[in-house]
Amino acid sequence: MDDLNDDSFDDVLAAMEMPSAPKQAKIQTSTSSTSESGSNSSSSTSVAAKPPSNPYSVLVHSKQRGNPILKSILNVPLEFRDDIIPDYVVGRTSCILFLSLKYHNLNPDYICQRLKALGKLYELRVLLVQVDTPEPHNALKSLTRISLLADLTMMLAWNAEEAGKIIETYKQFEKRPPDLIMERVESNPHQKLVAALTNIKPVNKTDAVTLLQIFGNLENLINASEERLAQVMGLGPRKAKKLYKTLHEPFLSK
Amino acid sequence: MSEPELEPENTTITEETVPTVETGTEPSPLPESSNGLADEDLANLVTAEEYLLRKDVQLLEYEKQMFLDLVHTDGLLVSAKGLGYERVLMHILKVYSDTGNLLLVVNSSDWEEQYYKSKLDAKYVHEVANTATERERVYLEGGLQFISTRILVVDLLKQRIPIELITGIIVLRSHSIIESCQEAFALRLFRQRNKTGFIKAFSSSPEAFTIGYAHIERTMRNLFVKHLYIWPRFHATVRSALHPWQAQTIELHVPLTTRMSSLQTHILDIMNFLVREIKRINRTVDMEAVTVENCVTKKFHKILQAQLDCIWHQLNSQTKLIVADLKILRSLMISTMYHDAVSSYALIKRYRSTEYAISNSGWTLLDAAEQIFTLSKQRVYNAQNEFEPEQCPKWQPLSELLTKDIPGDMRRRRGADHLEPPKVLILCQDARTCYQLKQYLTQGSARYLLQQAMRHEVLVGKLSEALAKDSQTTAMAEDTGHNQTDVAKTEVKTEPDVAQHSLDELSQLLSETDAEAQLMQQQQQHLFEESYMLTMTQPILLPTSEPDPNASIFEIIPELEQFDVSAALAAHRQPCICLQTFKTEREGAMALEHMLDQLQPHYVVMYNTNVTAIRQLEVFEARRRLPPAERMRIYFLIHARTVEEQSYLTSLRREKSAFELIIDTKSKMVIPEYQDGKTDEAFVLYKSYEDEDANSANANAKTRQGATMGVALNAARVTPKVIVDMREFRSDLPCLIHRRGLEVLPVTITIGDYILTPDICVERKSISDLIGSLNSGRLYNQCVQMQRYYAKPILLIEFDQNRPFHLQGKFMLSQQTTATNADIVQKLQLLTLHFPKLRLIWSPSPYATAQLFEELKLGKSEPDAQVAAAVGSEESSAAASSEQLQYNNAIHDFLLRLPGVHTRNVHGVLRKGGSLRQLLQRTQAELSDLLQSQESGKLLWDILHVAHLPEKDEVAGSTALLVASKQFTSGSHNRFRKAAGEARRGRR
Repeated sequence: MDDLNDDSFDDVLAAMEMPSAPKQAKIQTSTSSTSESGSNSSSSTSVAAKPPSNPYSVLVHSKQRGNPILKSILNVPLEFRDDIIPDYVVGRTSCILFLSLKYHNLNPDYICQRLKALGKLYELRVLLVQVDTPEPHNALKSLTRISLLADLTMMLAWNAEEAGKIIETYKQFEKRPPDLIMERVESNPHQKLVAALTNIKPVNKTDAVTLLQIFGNLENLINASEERLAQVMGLGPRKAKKLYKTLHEPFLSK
Repeated sequence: MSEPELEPENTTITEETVPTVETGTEPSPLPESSNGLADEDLANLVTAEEYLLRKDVQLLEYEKQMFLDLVHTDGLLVSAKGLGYERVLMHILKVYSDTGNLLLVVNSSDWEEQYYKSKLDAKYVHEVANTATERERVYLEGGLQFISTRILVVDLLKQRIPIELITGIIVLRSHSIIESCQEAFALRLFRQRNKTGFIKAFSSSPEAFTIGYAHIERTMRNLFVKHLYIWPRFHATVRSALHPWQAQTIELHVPLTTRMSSLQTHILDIMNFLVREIKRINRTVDMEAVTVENCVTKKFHKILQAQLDCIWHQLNSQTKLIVADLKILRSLMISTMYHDAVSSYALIKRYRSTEYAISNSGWTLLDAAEQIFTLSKQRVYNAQNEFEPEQCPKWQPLSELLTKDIPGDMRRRRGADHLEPPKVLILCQDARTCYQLKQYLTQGSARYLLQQAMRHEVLVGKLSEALAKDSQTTAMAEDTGHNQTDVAKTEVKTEPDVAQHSLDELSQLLSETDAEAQLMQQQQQHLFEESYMLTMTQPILLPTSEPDPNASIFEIIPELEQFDVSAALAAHRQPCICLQTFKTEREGAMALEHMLDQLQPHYVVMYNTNVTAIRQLEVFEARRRLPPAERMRIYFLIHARTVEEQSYLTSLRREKSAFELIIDTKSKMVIPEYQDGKTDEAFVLYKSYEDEDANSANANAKTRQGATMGVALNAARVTPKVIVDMREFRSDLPCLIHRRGLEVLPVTITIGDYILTPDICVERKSISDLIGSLNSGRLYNQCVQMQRYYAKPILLIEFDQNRPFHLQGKFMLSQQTTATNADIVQKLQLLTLHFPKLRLIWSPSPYATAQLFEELKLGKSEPDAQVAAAVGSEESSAAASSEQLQYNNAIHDFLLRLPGVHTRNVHGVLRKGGSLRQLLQRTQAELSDLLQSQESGKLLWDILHVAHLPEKDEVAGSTALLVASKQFTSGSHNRFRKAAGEARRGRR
């Protein structure tokens, strides 16, 4: 990730209240196996020794075995591995950490330990929170702060099925283009041109239609001089200047 | 005299002492606010008391008291419905309307604004200007402005309005200011900078203050007032003002028909059953408000909503069905009681369909339901299955009143030779009843019922003898003028060939009414007027020659089209009958007062009962101060011992208990001395109190943070700033942010809604917004923009605090969207996949959001308003862009919208394409290479070099669509009905 967040992660750790000694020891024993296995696999070259994973399956950390959310992942294959740090890996650059609020309330340091282990790996880091306590707001607020500092994208699920579905969808959408959430594009070429022209800031729909009427096609429009553009009804010098500038800009800025 | 009134304001009370808590209900009023009386017109008047003595000020005793109370001190006035604080407020506005004062009225409804504007001197009332500079100028002119709070808040924040110079703010409908905290925000901004101006608040809805926890105390705190004035109808002053002038009232108890009363019993039975059922299913839930008594009253929907909304997601489907069915039964009850037999049959018939049978809670299977269906059918058809609908039981007494009692009474009272025509005002509850009465009076019952049958597509089949004769004579009576002989002829004819003749009649009548019905539907929008004016065409002083009660003797006076009552009165020296609803859309409850003033009726017939209207009549009479003989006579048409009477009594009782609660609260209320916000020191204290209040929603969320936060705030000293987009002032969040002590800077920004730090930009979406903008693609574009210019873009998903914190179930606004919950989550996931840097915040309420914002800002640098405004609007290439290769954004977006270019190949084009001009030089093959696809290359080449004209049907189609949609909304029913009618006729 970028350098902006270098110290912000430390902030998280600094902000964490250190638990009392006996409790800490207990947690360390519980999480030690994870971190050990994680560090082993990442530091040594043991990755190569493992068989390469199927690119179409969700990689699941072995510790997640038995998690009820796995039952509702039906449409993508699962592959249990213990050489990954996050709970789930759903793409080349995306991973998921799963957290149940009930557990978080009992053991608030757990997520910090996991984040420390995760470091700055992966581009999209999803914190999947299952909201299973009656009064979730306080815990969610602290998790929100953590996720802002540690670059996590927080997703909420209200039950195990929803959580499973979210993991499944992340895998399925791994390579999906964003067309589904982009504005509908008209199929008609004229409408497409109008839409493209109106996207240039001061040009409105009437202007775009007039321009296309006068110049016929895009070639003529691009080749038109700024003065010629300014003469078009309803355009004026300001809009013409902006339009001309946009159309003649080199693609790459210096 | 009255020196203290002119003394400068005395604020020394709390200056040096620690603010004390005052428990009394009547603290000594501060001598305050006579500064408004320095008007030139009023220059010789020194006190409010003297103002009241002026000749043109006509107020009742209690109104004078209200006026004095509010002129002397700031306060909240709660009056009973119909008592009318409007006049009082009008005089207060008059006193202060002067160029030297700037008076603002907020939270007024349209009709209130119209009313006051029409009564006040136009020279002092200013319209709110559209542009900011214009507004700035108008503010300096002083006078009076009815302003929307959103504009006011922005102007206060931007200091466009000279806050120190505002004389005062008047808040109307102040019971509603807790839910929408815009008003409270405006008042707080005002109070922070202006310690001398007044705040006066009004409300005429005591019931509203009973909902929620400590509603009245919170309202008063938000209003910065310390005094509460309560004016119930049972207040001694009110009583003494109204009682000597009571009009003569006559209650006519109209019995229901036997079928109607058994219908009522059966519906009540079912309601009772459902209410018991709902309580049985939900033993743990507080269902106190769900009683049969409440079911039949007007406010039932509101009560249910207040009680069930917050636990709606916990109820099971059966309970929800029952609640829906209670509403249906309520509408059936209303239809039975107030509408005519035909339309209520049409309504009830709808719930007999198989579709409904599947989707209801099961009440249609009860015996009582079966009874309801048969009874309502019997009301329309007789034993031979002929069409013979019952008349409404109130119709007969009404026409008797109009034709016999009132003229008779007139003669008795004024002497037989006194021929001044009576003026009668008939009041009813809604436009529908109003229309019903008009049709009945002008056309007679038979014709009206037949028309209703046409409109509701109730199968008429065969007319019964009696009805056919009735309607025939009615039709005849209409044109008695031209062909008197005809009547005689037909009447002679009726005897010999009844069968054949009645068939003729039937078809004639049917076609006639059909045509009429169509005509009516064409002018559907004019159909339900809120008032009509009728007159009697025949001198009814000759009661001998009136054999047919159904003959139409009433006619519409055309002048009423222009609502010119006085002109109509002058032109017609005939009896005049006005039909009017309690409230109208245009004038609200003031319509009745207006009508009374203009008409000065001798008789009032209350066709339905309404608390507000009755009190308005009382007040009107008290104002006229006539001797007993000349007062109005009021006839009540009541179905005694029925739901109708009960709902009236319930509304009375509810208002009374609301007042009792308010009075009780007032006696116990603890009001801190600094609540008026007139001292600075108090304001600091006030803020911390506010925080307590704000957090009550998520109580356990604060406890720990509260302490640390306070310390941090004191340490920082610099007020943290948040830049808020101008358009965001419709929501509550800016107000809550300000309440937490952050400074709010309203700026028009193109990217994001809130800028917290130079890095953090927040786009706020409520759930419905989120769904809408995910589907339309707007959110995608907004995220693109945010990611381009800000290092930490945030999407804030804000839930409604009154709804469950859950992304599931009933939150969908419209049923027609097929989008499911899963669909939305999927789209949200896709968004996060494409914007891995976008952070999501899930906030349960605006309160929590404000708190989070404050925490996010701790220790961060402040945002710059100018930079934020410039970002995105100018092509400031200086803005930090994270992409390694820097593209020009405008051209990137332009290319992306051309055919053949999409998100995956656009980078290739940008990297290798050079510029648009260079693209033009390339061949199709080269473009194909660039786009990595033959097809895309062809598309792009095509769009660059070939002229594309709009397709013909693109233009024509859109206009056609527009026309079609218009037709669809207005006329689809007509066409359907017409077609059905034709089919029916064809069959016959």
